[in-house]
Amino acid sequence: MKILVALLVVFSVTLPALADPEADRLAFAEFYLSRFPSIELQAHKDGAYALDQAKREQWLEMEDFPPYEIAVDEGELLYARAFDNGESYAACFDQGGLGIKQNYPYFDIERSEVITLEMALNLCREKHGEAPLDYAGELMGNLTAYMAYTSRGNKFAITVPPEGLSAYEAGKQFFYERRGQLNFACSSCHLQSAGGMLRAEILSASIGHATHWPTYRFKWEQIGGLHKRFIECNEQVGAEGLAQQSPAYRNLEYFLTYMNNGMTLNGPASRK
Amino acid sequence: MITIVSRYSLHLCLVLSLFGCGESNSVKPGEATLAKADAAASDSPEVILFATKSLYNGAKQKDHAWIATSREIAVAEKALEAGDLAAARQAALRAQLTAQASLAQANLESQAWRTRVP
Repeated sequence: MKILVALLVVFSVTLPALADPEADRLAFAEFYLSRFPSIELQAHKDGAYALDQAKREQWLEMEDFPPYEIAVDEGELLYARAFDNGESYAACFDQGGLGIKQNYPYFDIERSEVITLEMALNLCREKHGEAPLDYAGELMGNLTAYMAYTSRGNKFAITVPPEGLSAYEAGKQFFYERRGQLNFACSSCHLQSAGGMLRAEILSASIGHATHWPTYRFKWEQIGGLHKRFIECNEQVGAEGLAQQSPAYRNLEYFLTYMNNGMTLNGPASRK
Repeated sequence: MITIVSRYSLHLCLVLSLFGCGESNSVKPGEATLAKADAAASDSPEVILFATKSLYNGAKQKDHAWIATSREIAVAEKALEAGDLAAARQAALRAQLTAQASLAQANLESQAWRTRVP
């Protein structure tokens, strides 16, 4: 009996080291393929508009005059503007920062934390003596809208190095943990009940959740990032939202985006 | 072997918890505070609020705080400022209940989430 208990203890201690993100991703994709057998996996990048034809047609009409267009244009100007030291954002990123969003977020081994695109932009600013931008502000929204626009058509290629496994696992735990007074997890709505109705809204699949940010939401009347949506989701179930770019949300984004590996980026986008 | 261990990891944890090996024998800070908060239920609004804020902070540290708790704490504090002790006590007790529930949720979910992974 003592040997059995000792073995069980050893297994439980080594469990985190056995995390297998790719096995998780395949099981995640398989879940949605079997739940929506008539919908191609890539179609989920359009969220709920992949699941309802009438809503899709309305949305496509809205996209004729995309409400995020101004943000992209202003983001391009902002991106090109030189810092006081003469450098610019392009100096901080591969390929001059264009067409790179598919590689974010990533795990920075030296810093031992997840770096999102928004955080990378602020780190770049600080490196060149500029004040960081407000993560919830319009300028950050415009910048990321432009960078997302230049990455359209690329496919997510997030990697999880051994050093990043604990951050990945923390994000995974957050996704599946019930929270708030309504006792809902992210997965309660967007995995377990994906395709179902919540009042008049269709619940989208998480397999496409990372592709289209930042997004112009009509209820926000502005463009906003994925973390703004995390806050909204948490508050909708009665949980206190966390700060944008908090470690927990960055880890959640890391997990969620890894689950979206292979999906085509189509941001910025518009949603109701 | 790795696949087998991964597949049965939840079962292993459950077995461990049956043996009493999955959890530390020491009393968790949240549980100690819960007991104090229960005892405080018959106390003044200030005492209840003090214990409740400790519970609330415990849930917040685990990213599991509820909006209802902070809202009721604010109501209780406002009533205290206005000198309405009955209303303050009522709101503080409501806050305490939600804080206890949020902390219980955090503790339960620290393992229960694994059952939802496809």
